Amino acid sequence: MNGIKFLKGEALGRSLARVALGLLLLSPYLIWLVWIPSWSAPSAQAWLKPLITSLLQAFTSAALSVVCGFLLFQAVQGWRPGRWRHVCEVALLLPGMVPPLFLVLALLAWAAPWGVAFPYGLAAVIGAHVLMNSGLVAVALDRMVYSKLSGMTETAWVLGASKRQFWLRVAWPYLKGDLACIFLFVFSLCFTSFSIPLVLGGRRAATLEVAIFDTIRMEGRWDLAVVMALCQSLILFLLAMTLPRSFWPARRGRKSLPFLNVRGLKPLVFVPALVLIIGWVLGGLAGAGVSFDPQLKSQLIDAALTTTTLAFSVGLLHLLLLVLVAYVTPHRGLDRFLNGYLAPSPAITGFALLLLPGESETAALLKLIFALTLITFPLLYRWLAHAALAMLQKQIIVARSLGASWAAIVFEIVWPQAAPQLLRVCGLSALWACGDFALSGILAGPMPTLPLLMQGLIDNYQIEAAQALMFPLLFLGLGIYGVFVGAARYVSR
Amino acid sequence: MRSRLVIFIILFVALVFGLFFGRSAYRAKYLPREQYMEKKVRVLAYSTFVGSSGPGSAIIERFQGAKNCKVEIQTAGDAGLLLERLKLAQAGGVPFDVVLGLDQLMLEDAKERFQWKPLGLNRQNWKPQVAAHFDDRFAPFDWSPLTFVYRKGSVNPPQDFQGLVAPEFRAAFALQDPRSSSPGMQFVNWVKAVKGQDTVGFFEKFKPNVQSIAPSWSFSYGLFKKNQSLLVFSYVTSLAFHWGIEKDKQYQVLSLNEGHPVQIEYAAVPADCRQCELAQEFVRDLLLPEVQSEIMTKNFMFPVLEGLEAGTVFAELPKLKTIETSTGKDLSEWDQVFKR
Repeated sequence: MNGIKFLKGEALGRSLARVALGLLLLSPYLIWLVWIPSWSAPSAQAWLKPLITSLLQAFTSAALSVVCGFLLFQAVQGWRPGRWRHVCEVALLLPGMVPPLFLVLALLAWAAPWGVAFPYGLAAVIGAHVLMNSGLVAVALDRMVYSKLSGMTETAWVLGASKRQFWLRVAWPYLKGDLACIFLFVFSLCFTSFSIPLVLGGRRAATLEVAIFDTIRMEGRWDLAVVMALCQSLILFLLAMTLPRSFWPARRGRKSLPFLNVRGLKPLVFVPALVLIIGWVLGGLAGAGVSFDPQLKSQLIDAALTTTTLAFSVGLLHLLLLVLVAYVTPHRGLDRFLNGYLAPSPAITGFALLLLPGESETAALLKLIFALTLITFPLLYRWLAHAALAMLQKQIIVARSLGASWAAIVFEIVWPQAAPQLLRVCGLSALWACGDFALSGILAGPMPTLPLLMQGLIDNYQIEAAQALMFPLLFLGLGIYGVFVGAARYVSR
Repeated sequence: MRSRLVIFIILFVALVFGLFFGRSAYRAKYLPREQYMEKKVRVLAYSTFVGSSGPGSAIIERFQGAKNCKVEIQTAGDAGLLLERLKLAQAGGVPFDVVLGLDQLMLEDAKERFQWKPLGLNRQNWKPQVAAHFDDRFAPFDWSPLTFVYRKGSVNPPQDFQGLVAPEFRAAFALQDPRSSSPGMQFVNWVKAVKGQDTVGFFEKFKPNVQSIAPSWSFSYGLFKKNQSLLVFSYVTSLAFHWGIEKDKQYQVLSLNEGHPVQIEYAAVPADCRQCELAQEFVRDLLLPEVQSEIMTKNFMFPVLEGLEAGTVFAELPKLKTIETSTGKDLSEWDQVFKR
C-alpha cells in the first residue's frame, strides 16, 4: 500500500512539476497578461509587412542553410575519424555557437580594412544566417546519416549505385522527415533572430522582431508588442507541432562515409569558421596597442567577475531545469510544448522581469540569470537536449514496467547516459550568457558586465578599446564552456 | 551515478555561490560607509552616462559625499527606453527620484504621460540655445548641435542642403534609424524644418547617397571610424574627442547655410519621488560649474553654462548656426522613401 501511495504521490509531483515548468517558461507572457490593463490588436500595417519580410527572410535563410549544409556535410566525409574530424565538427559549429554580436562584428570587420561598403539589407541578413547555421545543418546531417543510413551507404557503394541514386532513392525516403525538422529549426532561429536583422538589415529588411522593438520604443505600446510576439510564438509553435521529432542524434558518427565524399570539397569545412576568425583578427588588430584608462582597468576585474558569475549561474540553472525535464518526461504534451515554444524577444522578457519585485543589485543579477535562461533554454532544449533524452525513452518504458520509480530512472538511467550532452547544453548557455548585452542593458542596472563595458566604450568613441575587449570576452566564454565540456568528459568516462 | 550528479550540482552551486561571494567581497572593498545610510536617491539614467567612461560615477560620488546620502543608479540600457522603464517602476510601486537623459524628442511624451516636480532653476549664465527652451520641470545639463562629421581631404564639403544630394556623395552618408535612435529622428526633423513641403523630394534625391542606416548612433559612428562611410550624422562635439583625446584634426564637420538642429539632454524629478528634496538638489547640482565641466569632458557635449569652455578643446570647435526643429515623431515622409 505504501508503494502505491508513493507512486501516486510521485505522479502528482511530476504533474505539478510539468505545470510549473510550463508556467516558468511562459512567465514573461503571464506577467504581461496580469500587468497590461487593456488590450488591442495591432493594425495590419504594423505587422503584415514585417511578417512577410520575416517569413521570406527565414525561409530563404533556412533553405540556403540546408543547401550549404549539405555541401559541408559532403566535405566532412573527406576527413577521417579522429582528432581532425572532431576539429571539423567544432569548426562547423563555431558560427552557430558564438553570440550573434560576435558574428556581426566579424562580418563588418571584413569590409572595413578595404573601405568597401557593407551590403546592408535582406541579402546581408540571409548571408549572416546561412554562415551561422549551415555548419549546424552539416553536423546534424552527419550524425543523422551515420545513425540511420551508414549500413545502407556501404551496401549502395558495394552494389555500384551512383551518388545521385543513393540520395534520391535511398536517403530521401528515410531522411525527408528529419530534413524537414532541421529546416524548421533553422527557420525558427532565423524567424526570431533580432540582432542580425536590426544591425545588418537596414530599414528595408525590418522583421517582426524589429517591428516589436519599434512598437515598444516608438509608441510604448506593450499590449501591441506582446500580441505580436505571441502571434510569432504561435506561428512557430503550430509549425513545430507538425514535425515534433528530434533531428540531432546525441552521438557523432564514428567513421566517415567516403562514398558520400566529394573530392575537392574537403577544405570547405573550415570556411565558415575562418570567415569568423579572420573577421575577429581584422577587428582585433584595430584594437591592438590600445591603452585603457585606469578607471576602466579597475572596472575590468569587476566586470569579468560579474560576467563569470552570470555565465556559471545561467549554466547551473539550465542544468537544474534539464534534470527537472528529465524527471517529468517522457510526456507527449510537454514534449510538444518544449519542441515548439520559443521565448519572446529580449525586450519583452527583460521588461516583464522588471515588473517583479526586487530592486537590489542581487535581485537584478538573479533576474538577469533567470531572463537569460528563459531566452536560451527552449532553443537549446530543442536543438541538443531533446535528442539526448528522447533516445532513452524505450529504456525508460522498460524500467517503468519493471517497477522503477521516476527518481531512480532519472539518476540511474537518464543522467548517466545523457549527462555529457546535457552538460554541453549548459556550457553553451553559459557561453551565450557571456556575450549578452541586450538583456543586460535592461536588467543589469549599474552592474558592469564585459559586453556592457564594450557598449559603453563604443558610445564614448572608443571603438578600438571596445574591440580589444572582444578577445578576453571570447576567451572567458570559451573557457567557461570548456569547464562544462570538461565536466561532461568526466561524467562520460 | 546518482552520487556523481549530486556532487556535480553541489560543486556547481558552490562555484556559483563562491563567485557571488567573491564578487561581493571584491566590490565591498570600494563601498564607503555611506552605502549603509538610509537616505537613498534612486536615479534612472542611460547606461553610457554611468558607464566606466561616462561622467555619472564622479558626479554621484561627489553628491553622496556632500549630502551624506546614497545614490542608487538604475539604467534603461537605451536612452529611448527611459520613459518605459519609468512607467514600469511607477506601476511596480518603486518610483525613481531622478530621471536623467531625456531629450527634446522625449519631452512631449514625458509631459503628457507623467507629472514632474518644479526644480526652482536659476537661469543665470545659461547659453541662449538652451535658455530658449526653458521649462522649470526639466533641467538641461548638456547640449550640442548636430551635423555631419567627415575627414579632411576625403570629401569636398558641401555648403548647403543642395550639396548633400550631389552625385559625388553616392553611398557616402551613415545615418541612424529614426525609430531606434534619437539623432536619427533629429535628422528627419531637420530635413522637414529646412525642406518643408519638399521633404519627400529631398529624401528621394538623398537616398542614393546614404551608405547605411544603423540602429544606433554608436553603430553608425563605428562604421564611419572604420572607413565604411565618408560622413556620419553626429554631434559637433564629436570633434572634441578627436581633437582633444586623439589629437587628430583631420576630423571636421559640415557647416550648412540652412542651420543645424540642436540636441539638449535633460534631467527631471518625477512627481511621485520619495526623496524629492534631495532629488531636486541632485538635479540642480548638475548645473554647478564643476559638474558641468565634468559632463563636458566625459560626455563630450557642450556645457549649459557660459564660459566653461575657455582653455579647453571645446573653445576651438566650429560655431554652427542653429535652427528650431520640430520635436514630433512623424515618419510618414521618411517611410515613403526609405521603407520602400
